[in-house]
Amino acid sequence: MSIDAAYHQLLDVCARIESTLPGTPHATRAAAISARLSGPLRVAIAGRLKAGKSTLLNALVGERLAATDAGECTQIVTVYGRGDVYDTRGFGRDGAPLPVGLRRVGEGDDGSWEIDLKGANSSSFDRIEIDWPASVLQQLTLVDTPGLGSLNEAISRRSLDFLLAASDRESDTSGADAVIYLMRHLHALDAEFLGAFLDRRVVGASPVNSVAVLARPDEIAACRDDAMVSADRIARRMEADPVVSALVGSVIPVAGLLAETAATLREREVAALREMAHCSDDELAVLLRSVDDLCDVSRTSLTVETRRELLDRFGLFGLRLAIRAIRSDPSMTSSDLARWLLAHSGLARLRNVITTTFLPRARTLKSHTAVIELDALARAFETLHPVLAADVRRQLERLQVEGVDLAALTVAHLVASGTVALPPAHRAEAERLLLAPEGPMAMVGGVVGEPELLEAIERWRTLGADPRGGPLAVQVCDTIARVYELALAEAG
Amino acid sequence: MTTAAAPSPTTDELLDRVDAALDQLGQLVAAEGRDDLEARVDGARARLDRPTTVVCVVGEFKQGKSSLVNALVEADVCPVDDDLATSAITLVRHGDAGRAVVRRRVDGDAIAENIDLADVQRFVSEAGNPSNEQRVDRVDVLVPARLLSEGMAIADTPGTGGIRAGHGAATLAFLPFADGLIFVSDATSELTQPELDFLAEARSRCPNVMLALTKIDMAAHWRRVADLDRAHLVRMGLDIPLVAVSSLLHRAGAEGGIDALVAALRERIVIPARTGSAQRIAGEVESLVASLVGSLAQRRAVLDDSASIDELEARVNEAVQRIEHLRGPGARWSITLGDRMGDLSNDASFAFRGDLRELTRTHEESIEALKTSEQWEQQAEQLQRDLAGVVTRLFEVIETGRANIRAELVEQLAAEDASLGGADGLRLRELDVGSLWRGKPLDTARAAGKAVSTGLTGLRGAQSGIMMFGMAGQFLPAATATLLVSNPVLLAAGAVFGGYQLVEDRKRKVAMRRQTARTQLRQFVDDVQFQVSNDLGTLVRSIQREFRDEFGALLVELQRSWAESLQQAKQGLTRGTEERAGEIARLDTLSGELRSVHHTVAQCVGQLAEQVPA
Ligand SMILES: Nc1nc2c(ncn2[C@@H]2O[C@H](COP(=O)(O)OP(=O)(O)OP(=O)(O)O)[C@@H](O)[C@H]2O)c(=O)[nH]1
Ligand SMILES: Nc1nc2c(ncn2[C@@H]2O[C@H](COP(=O)(O)OP(=O)(O)OP(=O)(O)O)[C@@H](O)[C@H]2O)c(=O)[nH]1
Ligand SMILES: [Mg+2]
Ligand SMILES: [Mg+2]
Repeated sequence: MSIDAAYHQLLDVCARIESTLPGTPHATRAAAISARLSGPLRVAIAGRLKAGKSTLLNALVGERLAATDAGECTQIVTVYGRGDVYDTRGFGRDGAPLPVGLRRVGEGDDGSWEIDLKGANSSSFDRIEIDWPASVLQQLTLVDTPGLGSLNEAISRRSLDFLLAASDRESDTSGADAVIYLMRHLHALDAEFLGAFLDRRVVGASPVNSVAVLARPDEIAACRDDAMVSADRIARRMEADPVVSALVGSVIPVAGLLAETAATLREREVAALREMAHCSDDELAVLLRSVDDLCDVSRTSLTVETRRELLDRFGLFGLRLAIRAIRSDPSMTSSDLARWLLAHSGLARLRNVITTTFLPRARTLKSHTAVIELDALARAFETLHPVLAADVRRQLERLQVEGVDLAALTVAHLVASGTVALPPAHRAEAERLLLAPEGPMAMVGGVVGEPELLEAIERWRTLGADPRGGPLAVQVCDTIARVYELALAEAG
Repeated sequence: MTTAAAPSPTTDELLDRVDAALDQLGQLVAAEGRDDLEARVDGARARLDRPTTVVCVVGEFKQGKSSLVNALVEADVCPVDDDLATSAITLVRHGDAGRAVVRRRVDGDAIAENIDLADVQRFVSEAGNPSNEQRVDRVDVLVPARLLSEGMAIADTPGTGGIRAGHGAATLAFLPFADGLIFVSDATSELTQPELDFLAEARSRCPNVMLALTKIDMAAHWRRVADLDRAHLVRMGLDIPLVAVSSLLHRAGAEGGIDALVAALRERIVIPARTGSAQRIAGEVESLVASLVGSLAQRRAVLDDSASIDELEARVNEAVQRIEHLRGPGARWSITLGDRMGDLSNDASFAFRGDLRELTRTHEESIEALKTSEQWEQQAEQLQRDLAGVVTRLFEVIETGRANIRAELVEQLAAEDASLGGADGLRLRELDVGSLWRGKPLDTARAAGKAVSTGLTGLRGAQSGIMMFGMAGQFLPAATATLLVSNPVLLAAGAVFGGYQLVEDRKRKVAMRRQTARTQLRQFVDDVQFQVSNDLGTLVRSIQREFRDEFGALLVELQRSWAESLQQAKQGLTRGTEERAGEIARLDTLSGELRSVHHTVAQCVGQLAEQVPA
């Protein structure tokens, strides 16, 4: 069964639940699952408190939609989706709508956006959904989550609720199909913590659908000019760590603040930068030495407020970078500068991972999420309608067995996360096959001849027959053998 | 209330006066040719000027701990890096020429080697010594620096992710022995809950906890973060001052708040330690002056009346003989020392093994009851803290035992002494021979009056504390990774995808992992027991040796005092009448000067005691 067939079957399952149990919360939940299946891929931005999640979201969207602050900030899971015009919807803990608004802070094109809770307490919200006419949101739904490890446990709980498996959740908030995990640093020991963390909480987070961002990289290297180089070295070291590589496909340093500012750069800011760039070398050396020197009343013709704003928008590293760029090429236009800053932020690499590894398998990832959610839903109406529940479950199991792409994805998680340990040669082969973004069939199709396919089938069947491997290993070997069988069938 | 009183002298001034008085005392005894007493006065002066204090620098990784230590000592001694840096404890102390000593384990044995400063990074950094694979207990770095020259030793520690596990746990265990703690958190974001929990625990064990907010040169919102942090501390009821610093600016020659931190360290740690030293030194000065004045009086008596020389000679001979006996192996105190140290060693290791058994039992029970993987993380953290607690208790037993044995020895020797020369003899009871590196006695003076809840404060500064710190800092972090990996409940996410037929498999695997976890637990506890027991033997032997050396030296000094007073009295007899009169006058002046030194010291110490806040 192709992934498209599986996908349509899942839509059918949703429709059946809706029509069999009309007017129940189960029907609403089925409708939501169905809507998500046909909508864009849902990517959650997760990480510890103040890692720069909201800033990165803004950078990806190209608009300062999510509020950012030096103090604890995001308190409600916020889902940013496509829409021709902007719209906001709030949902309470019980799923009922709650009134919310979006309002502009600052004047003209100058501002950022702020969510207006209309007097309600943030703890009464399950989530907020915002529609916004941005092109990225055509392909991706982005989810901003409250920081993990918050001083207020209830706030982190909301993120966990969202990121947790559907089966463990009480509310019907949908989880994510893929995760961008922000971290600021990683010690050998923290790899263990992170491992334990991602492993148990974000179901299905594995190199297949998660990527780590080394956040605020400019600060890691003390805002030195070579900060991004240093951050790159650290990211590569993390990537090589077996615990990390079991969890994420890659670690990418992204200076979110720089990217956000580049995406929303204003003429006024460029003018101020130009003025600052006129200072003599010595003046600049003192001015850019520290944040206090920069905001010292007695320096430059710019007002302290302007300098403070620049600092907020660029950070010390970003300011040094921008001034250097303007000085080296005074003819630079605002859009040149924006492009230049963006190039230094590392955002392009993150975008690249999204387009080359997440998006091509979007349908598979979404179907995968839907299977988990429908399974949980079936359990929820088990007593109400046991026949339907059993039926849905049977169908889901069959889908997982017959839908080779879907089965391959499950197995890819098992292999890539190291849950199932394979002999090295087998592992390399399995990863090549299973982690191919176009799906395993595209990977085998036409590449090898009949004798090789037969040999491969035999090899994997033999490995799967080894009783020491346990049921998960059997599942892995069977699935891979079946991929080769299908390829053989197609070739024949 | 006094009216129109002269401005009362500051603590610094009073300490200077004590120092000047000691200087004078040193010159007086030197002029009398008593180089042994001069050395003792010099020792006391050193303890007054440079009382050994230890301050730990801790925090989560990459917060700028090593950079801060370097800024405090104005030298690049601790390796700094953008990526992981510190992997072992570094103790930075004062020394004229820069050098370093690495203490590590080779096949379970503790060894110490001298190394070049340039080689320090080979032992304390992740690059040179990843995950402390060379099993370094600690590296002592000796460099000249103003703060250090006042006796402070600063411990740079490896950063930790789970701040209360690994090195965090080791540091918490060491705190009862330390004088202060600088907690480092950078200004790019506010304190997290684990950091605040650590601070609360640290504050309950050590009165001098400070928060250094670092990297303020580059953190755009550092004032905001400082306010948030202060508010968190207030909310948790923690009386901990926050000092905002930039090590980078300081090292570049600009004002980076480091001076304020140094001032705070001086005021809160160095000055109280010096005051404490002065108080203990006052007793020593009193006994030393009394003994000298007594011996001068004997000489004077012989000058006055030559007939009394025979009586003196008889007394001196008797005294010298008795002291000779006391110095021998058959002396009562020497036998007591041997017996008591043996008992202490047995009692301590018996209690330690009992504690470990109990710890293993409770943790094995918890493993069976584990429901979620978070609980295992918490348990692994708890295990490390419990273990650190057990080790602290062991060293506490040793330190208390050491103090009791010392008191008993002093008592015994004082009794012998009384029969020797009465009030004129050296009164051992008053002596303060301690220093961190030579087995410091319980420092009750400094702990008194400070609200600290553990009752362990008496151990502050003890040498064995540092030893334990290095040891715990070596085995606790190594345990973290192993313990976390053996998580008995954690099954990888993949299981969720597998479907229902896997429930049985999961159960089987959980049982298997519980078994592994129990094995790991026992293994870990066994390793700790082996290592600690080994070190315990070494420690007890070294305490015994120290006592022998300390009291042996005192007895030699005493013997010499007696012998010289006789010899000088005899010399005096060879002089003419006029000369004798001159000598009597000189002896009287000297006695007066000695008494005045004692008076000055006693007066200053009295005033210092008034200044110590209740
Ligand atoms: N220097 C620097 N600062 C950044 C970067 N990204 C974010 N920040 C700053 O970090 C602070 C926190 O950013 P947010 O985006 O609000 O972080 P968050 O993870 O959403 O925070 P919570 O929602 O409270 O968990 C803000 O002051 C940002 O300006 C970066 O790449 N470099
Ligand atoms: N701008 C700035 N950077 C600093 C300052 N202090 C430390 N850093 C930088 O922060 C990073 C970490 O500094 P370290 O001193 O190695 O931090 P640490 O806490 O000892 O690190 P670990 O031992 O690995 O836990 C380095 O890149 C330093 O350059 C400071 O005051 N200002
Ligand atoms: Mg946020
Ligand atoms: Mg360090």
